Amino acid sequence: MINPGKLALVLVALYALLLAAAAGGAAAFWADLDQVERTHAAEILLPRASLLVLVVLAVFVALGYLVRLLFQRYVTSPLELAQATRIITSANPSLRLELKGGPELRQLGQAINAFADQHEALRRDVEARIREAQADLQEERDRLSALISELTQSVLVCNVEGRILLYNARARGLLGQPVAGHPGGGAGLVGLGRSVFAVIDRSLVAHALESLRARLGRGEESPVASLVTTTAAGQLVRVQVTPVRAAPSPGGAEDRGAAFSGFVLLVEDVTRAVETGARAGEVLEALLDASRRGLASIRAAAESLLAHPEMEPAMKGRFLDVVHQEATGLSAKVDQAAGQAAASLGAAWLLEEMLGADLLEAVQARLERDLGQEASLQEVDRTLWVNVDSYALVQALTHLAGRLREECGARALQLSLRPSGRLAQLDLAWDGAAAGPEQLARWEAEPLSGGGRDRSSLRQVMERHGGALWHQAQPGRANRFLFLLPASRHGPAPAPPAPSAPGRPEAYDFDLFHQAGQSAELDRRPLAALSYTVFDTETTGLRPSEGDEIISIGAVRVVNGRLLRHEAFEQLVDPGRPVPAEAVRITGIQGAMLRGQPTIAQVLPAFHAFCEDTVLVAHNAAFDLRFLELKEGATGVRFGHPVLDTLLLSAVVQPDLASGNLERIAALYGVDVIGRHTSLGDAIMTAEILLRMIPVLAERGIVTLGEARLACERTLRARLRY
Amino acid sequence: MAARVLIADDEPNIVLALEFLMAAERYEVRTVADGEEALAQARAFRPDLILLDVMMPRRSGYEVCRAIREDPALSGIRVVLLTAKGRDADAEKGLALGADAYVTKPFATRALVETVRALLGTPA
Repeated sequence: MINPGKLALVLVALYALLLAAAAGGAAAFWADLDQVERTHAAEILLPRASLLVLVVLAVFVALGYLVRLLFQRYVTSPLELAQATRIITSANPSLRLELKGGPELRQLGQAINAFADQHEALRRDVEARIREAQADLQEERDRLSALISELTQSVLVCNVEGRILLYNARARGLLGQPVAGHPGGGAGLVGLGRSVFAVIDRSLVAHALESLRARLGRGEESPVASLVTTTAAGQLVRVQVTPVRAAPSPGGAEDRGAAFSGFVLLVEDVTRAVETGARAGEVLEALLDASRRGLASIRAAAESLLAHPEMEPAMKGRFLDVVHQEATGLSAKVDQAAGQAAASLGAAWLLEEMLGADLLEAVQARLERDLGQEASLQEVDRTLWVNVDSYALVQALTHLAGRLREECGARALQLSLRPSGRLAQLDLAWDGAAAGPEQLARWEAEPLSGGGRDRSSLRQVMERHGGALWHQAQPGRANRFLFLLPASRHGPAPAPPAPSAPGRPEAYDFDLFHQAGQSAELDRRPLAALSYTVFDTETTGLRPSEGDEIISIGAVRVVNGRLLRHEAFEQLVDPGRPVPAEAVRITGIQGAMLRGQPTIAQVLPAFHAFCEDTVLVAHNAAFDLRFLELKEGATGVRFGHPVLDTLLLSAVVQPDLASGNLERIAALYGVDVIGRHTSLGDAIMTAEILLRMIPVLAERGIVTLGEARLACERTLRARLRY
Repeated sequence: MAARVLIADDEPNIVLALEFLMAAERYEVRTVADGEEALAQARAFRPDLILLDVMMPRRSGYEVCRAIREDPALSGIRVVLLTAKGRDADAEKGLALGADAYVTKPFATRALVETVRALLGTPA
């Protein structure tokens, strides 16, 4: 675009200059003429004055065109080039310059276009790489998340301060279970950014970490520590603690070996195993006790009989009765103990329920792979479940098949499986010679070949199963080994349904790994990277010091700039006093709804646990905190957390804002107003306002928690002054 | 005069053998079936030695043993604890409470008889 003003200015100046020059020239010329010449000149010029004016005008127009052309070529076009180039670099990399203007400018344009091509290609390349890397990362995270959510163990990944970065539904189910009658509603104790110490004693974990640090320092490759503790719900859990090594710092830190950025907790419910173990111990103890007593009587009687052959027949008869009676009693006790032990020892040996057909297929595949031996499946009851140590059994059958081939020339093997009373009968038939009793005895007693893990024999494996094994040769039929194994018709109990799985995208947050020390450095940390508990209370009125009480607490968590809706706390509270009509009107909470709810003394400890290690946020926080403070004496629960107030923060951003009303501020930040005057609804709204406020505060230079708190304080003081 | 032996055990089958064995040694024998009775007879019968079962109704053998050792009037009585508990800790406890011997069931009758003989052969 030509700037018409500028061009006009230049032209006017040019014309004025020319006119001045012409006028000057004419004046000098005129002055040089004498009177006669002047008269002549006038006579010549005056009649042609219009012609002269025309010539001058024509010259002006021609000049005008010329100047306009030059202006366009050498002034306007470079400006356009500059503008377009700026757009290419900042906004639209695929824009190219229109080649116009003088040949010099065209060349410049071409050079810029070539540069833009290169720039664009480079940019595309970088973007593509970033996308790829992000996709890889996302895929890895999704895979990890999926993997962990599928695990049957409970997994928690924490950073070095004990904040939970990742957990699976099982961990939440096992550790985060709200205990019956435990306040907090659905608020589990396990959640992203939550402190793991709310569910596992801090000192236990600290001790485990200490020992891991020491072992890493000694150069141990992958140390694991374990601890046993009880959950809030009373289950006994064994926790394995594995360190997550810190990525090597580029500077090459001195104690790299001992540094770790977090830890993984594998939590296992051992309540049943321990109970089973204890039961087995009791059975053994009782059996030993009974045996000693019975044997004492029998032995004393027998030895008396032997030592005193002269004994009267009546006395002899009494001693023989004792022997018989005690021996009979002892037999019954042993039977009883055997029954009890089978139940508990089975569990001790980690027998697992599996489909019998699966076991046979595993055996078949193993024979094929290890021995190159074909085995066919015949008459397999596909509904039959067995209770076995499948590893040992596959090992045992492979061992037996190997011996049959070497010593009996067996070539083709057949496996079948059928129920037999409460047991399952597994047949291994072969087409070669029969096995002699000595052979079988040897095969049963020798350690299994290829059993790297343990050196159990076939007999021991069968004993472990409470099963039996024998050789059967029937005329006209193939030789067979028969195995009796424990069966179960029902199959394994279905795994407990995973408690409502949290949305996967929210189930991990590795950014928490990068959080520095929470306590002392908290004030220096950016607002966007903190963990918040945003809460609201509903009360019977506005005067806590005059007996008004909390009737509802709602809270929601914000971690690393994300609102975690499923990590919420919502609890009605029995205020122990009537709810005034005004409060009922505002909150919709009737007195009847509060009867049977926990009291504030029961709720506050749970709420305090929910808030652990977070920054508290509320709208007009002073009001809610006053209620909490007044209960400090009664409950012993102190809320010493750092606090932010969205009301004060909004005043920091807009000092002239007339009303601090939550709805108005929500509207200002484009937050939907839903569920107003339910504590959880208001808490969620406040959380959304907080999230939108953080970037606005950053624009005003308020980035860290310390800066935000200072700004709040100043605003508060400024307000108090009025 | 024959030495006196008190047998305290709640299982008649073992009492039968113990009574027979002690009588065969020509001791004067009396039997009781619980801890309370054992302590009463320790005072009334004045035995030289008690064969004392640990697990008895009303009072355990440990308690009876302790009561005997705490009563100066009963200081001369030897105590042989009989028990079906085979752990070292139980034996230690019995001896710590003042038993002269600790015999785990089942036992060799000959060894028990010899233990009793040895204890009664040495004057307190």
